[in-house]
Amino acid sequence: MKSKNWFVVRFLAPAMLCLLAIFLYPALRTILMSFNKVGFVTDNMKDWEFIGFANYTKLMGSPLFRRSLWNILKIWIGGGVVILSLSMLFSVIITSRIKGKKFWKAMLYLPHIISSVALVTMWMQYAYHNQYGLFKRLFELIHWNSMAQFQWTAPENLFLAMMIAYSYAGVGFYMLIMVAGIDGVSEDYYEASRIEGAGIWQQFCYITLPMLKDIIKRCIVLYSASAAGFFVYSTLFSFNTENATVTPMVYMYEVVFGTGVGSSSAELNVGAGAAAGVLIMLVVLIVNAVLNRIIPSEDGQ
Amino acid sequence: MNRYGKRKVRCKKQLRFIPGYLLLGIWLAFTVAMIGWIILASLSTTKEIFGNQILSSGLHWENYANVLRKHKMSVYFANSIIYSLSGCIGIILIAAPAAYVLSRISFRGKSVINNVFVIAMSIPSVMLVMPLFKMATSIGLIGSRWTLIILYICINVPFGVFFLIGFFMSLPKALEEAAEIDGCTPDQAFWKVMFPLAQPGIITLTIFNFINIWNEYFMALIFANKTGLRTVSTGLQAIVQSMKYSGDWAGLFAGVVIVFLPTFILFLFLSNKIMAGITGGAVKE
Amino acid sequence: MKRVNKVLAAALAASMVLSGCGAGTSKTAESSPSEESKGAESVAAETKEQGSKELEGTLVYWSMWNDTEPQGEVWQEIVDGFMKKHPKVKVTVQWCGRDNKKILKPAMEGNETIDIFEYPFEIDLNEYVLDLTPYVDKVYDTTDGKPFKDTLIPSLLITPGTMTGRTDILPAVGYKPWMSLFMYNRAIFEEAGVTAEPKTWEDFDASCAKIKEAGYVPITFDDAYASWLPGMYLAREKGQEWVQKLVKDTTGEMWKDEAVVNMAKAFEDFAKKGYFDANVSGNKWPAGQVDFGNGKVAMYYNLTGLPTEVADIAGPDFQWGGFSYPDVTDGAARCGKEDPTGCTLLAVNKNTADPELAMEFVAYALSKENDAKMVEHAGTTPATVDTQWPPALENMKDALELVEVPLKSGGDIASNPDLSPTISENFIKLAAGQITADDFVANMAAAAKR
Repeated sequence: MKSKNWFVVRFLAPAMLCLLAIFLYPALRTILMSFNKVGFVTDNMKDWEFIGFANYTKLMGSPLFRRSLWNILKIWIGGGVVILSLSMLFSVIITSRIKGKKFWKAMLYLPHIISSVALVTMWMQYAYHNQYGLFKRLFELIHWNSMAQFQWTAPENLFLAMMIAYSYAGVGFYMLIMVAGIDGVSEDYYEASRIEGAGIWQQFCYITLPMLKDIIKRCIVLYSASAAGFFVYSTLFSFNTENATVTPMVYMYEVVFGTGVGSSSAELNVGAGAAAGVLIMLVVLIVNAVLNRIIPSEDGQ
Repeated sequence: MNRYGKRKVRCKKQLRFIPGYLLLGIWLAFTVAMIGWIILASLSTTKEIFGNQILSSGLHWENYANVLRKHKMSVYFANSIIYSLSGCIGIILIAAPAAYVLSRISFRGKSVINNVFVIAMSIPSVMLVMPLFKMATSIGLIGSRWTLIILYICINVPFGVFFLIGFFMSLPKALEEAAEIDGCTPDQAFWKVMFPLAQPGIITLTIFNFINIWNEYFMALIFANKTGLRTVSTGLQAIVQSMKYSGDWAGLFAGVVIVFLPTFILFLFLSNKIMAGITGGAVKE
Repeated sequence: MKRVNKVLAAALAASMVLSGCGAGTSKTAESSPSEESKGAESVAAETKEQGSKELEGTLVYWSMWNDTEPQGEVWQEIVDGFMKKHPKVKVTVQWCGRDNKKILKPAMEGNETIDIFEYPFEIDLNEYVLDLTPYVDKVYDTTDGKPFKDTLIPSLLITPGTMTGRTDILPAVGYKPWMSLFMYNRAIFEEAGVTAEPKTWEDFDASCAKIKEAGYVPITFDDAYASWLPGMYLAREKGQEWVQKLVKDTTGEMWKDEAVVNMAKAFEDFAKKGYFDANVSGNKWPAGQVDFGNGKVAMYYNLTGLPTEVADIAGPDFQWGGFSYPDVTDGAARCGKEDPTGCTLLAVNKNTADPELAMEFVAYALSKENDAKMVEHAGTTPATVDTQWPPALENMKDALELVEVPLKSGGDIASNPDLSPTISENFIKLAAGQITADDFVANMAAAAKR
């Protein structure tokens, strides 16, 4: 069967090449880099200086990096709960027998398709603006003055503002997935439960939720991936790196390509950036492992 | 139940949905208000925006003319189209054969390779950019469109493989045998028989990839940040920045509208297909 | 449905090819791919007896401006003019905008061909700059027989060194000298009865009170520059070097020093008296400076480049003024003598193919004629001696010339990037009246401690 093997190789080779060149090699190299002091991103390996775990200790000692970890935790858990619950809520609404299902679906999903830059500009320059903004005018209209004065872009509120904007764009996506899942649940179950007198809430708890376990888990996995890579919204909401919006990826970008955050000396240490990357990767692995424990796979993949 | 009773029940049923309608309505109102105001602001002047008197001096279409003239919006759009299209085509060309082989042909090391793809998918791009940047530099590819094209293709291949495996697995086993009987080589069997049959999956995957690449920001920021190479997302950011420095807020909003309008219109026409693509891309059969 | 898809795909593919072609034919403002410039050989300039030299070669200039800004427009004219004067020279420009901070380094590390660039002093590109000391002594085409350095305002040859921390070489020449001043609206000052620019903190306090009574908001600021106000206060009290030590302190003890407490109390006081705009708690740049341009607020601590940025909103009738950060109690007399000053740095790549050509371009760009254009069109401060200052900045001319000790922005309080966000955050809260001076000190001490 030599020809069969050759055939397999030919078909598989390009993909394997991608894998090796773009994933495995860079990942390994990044891990190596994280144990060294590296002056510039483009330095050759011989210019590296081995310093063991020093990058990691310095990283964990940096208040800005620690804050970025705390932020990402908030984004993941806090944001995750809010976004997925909202998506669940909307998906239930949409799959109940309301009119105009297609329209509502499309409307909810629209923000996800629009460029983040455009959306954030709308939020920052209109919705949240402290003088002519949408929220300010709205609250003034209903005479809720304390909220009208609310400074959405103040450091202490910026995170909330960012997450609201992020949710607006994300809810539609997860809603779609859940709707697809709910649509797959046979109507008979609901019919039977209704005959027995179950209300909406009970139907939800005892039928929808269990059947959707797998879909929900998939949503959590997807959300976790996007939370780990949280970058765009942070950079668009802040002029300089800010405590309120910094995430590990932002930190890493700044260390490697930006203003040398994290080095108290004037030298740039790209190794620290690599260390940040490795830490993010570890977090992702841990999260995936935890998720697999908590919600075992139904379909034995 | 008599007819009167049925009508009462139907009304009551719709009443139950009022909270639902309310929530959706609020969302809709917000969306309309935001997008609507931005469009109106883009037709005003900067002074009016800050003075709370939008459109008091009529429609200023010149804001759009200014943005289009001063900024290379056509270049940004062209670039995004180039990256997205070539990315999608490249991903399919590489992922489909691999997925086919991994799903239907048994050979040694298959499960290992399967797992490797799954692991690769979970590596965040942040782990990869630095060595990738160095690699691109050494080959001298920084400053060329190819860098980003190759990157977009390769980064999305593992997911493509993963996704398409499911589709190929669902095709009947007898097809290969039938093709062999007909005298096809394994190559032809794939390209002439299996590949066309996987169309739904491939189209779904393509839509998914297209949208992702179109809106991508992080890699574009690092690898394609020159005027001639910018995509729509990084390009808009450059425009917004420059408008802030020159105090041209009306122009800023005009730029935002120009960027978001094509996607919006496309979505209007293809919303069903797009949403199906997204769902299919995330929900394995 | 399938056929429609095919047609669509073909159309998109066609447009891709066409737009690919279109994007390929670059205008002079587009940057050429690095392969092009790398291949071109630049020939040494032939000197003729008198008149202009015959120059040949290519130059790549990465600009910190956007082509839509006034400065960018002038640079475009400069580039076009240079190419017209020397038909065998090709200059391509890459308009980076302020993102040049982020993209210059990766590009230079990627061996991108960049001959001339504005050096963003916040990052360290010292590895890549050509020492210009020997070059500024030379005579160029446009310097009228004088050595280049004699045509420029003296500070432009000093501040590049102080800004980049390289005093051993001349890393760049400067243009558009700037100063950090309290920019103020003279019309408001007049109306409120403030007749003299405040020189001490007490004067400052009194001026603010008068302005508030007249119905205007005395001071505002944006998140982007928030740390400059406390930074300068401390620099007035103890000098810039002390500030630099302060932000690098890892025990947290320095933050409890009397100097910091005084500073915090001073601003707490101002906050109580309502001298800060109500929106400072949430101002995201450029919200605050727009308020200033609108005539709502009297003072905004910023750079002399501000008039250009808010020109549209302020309008041509805005009466500009700027005064040096006042002296504070318990500080040495530094007002007017020590101020953040610098310039826009124009540097040449160490690896440039033809330094002479590059310098000719620089000299041309900073010639009297082009400098005057920049001043007129962009409202910037002049780089050449004896050039007329723009009307908006006329009254600040003396301030620039009187500076004895050039400081870094905000007294260099932002020199520790790890701590900077916390400083800004706490100061914003202090100025908004949300925390007390004691809170400020305690927070900073805790944040600094490792």
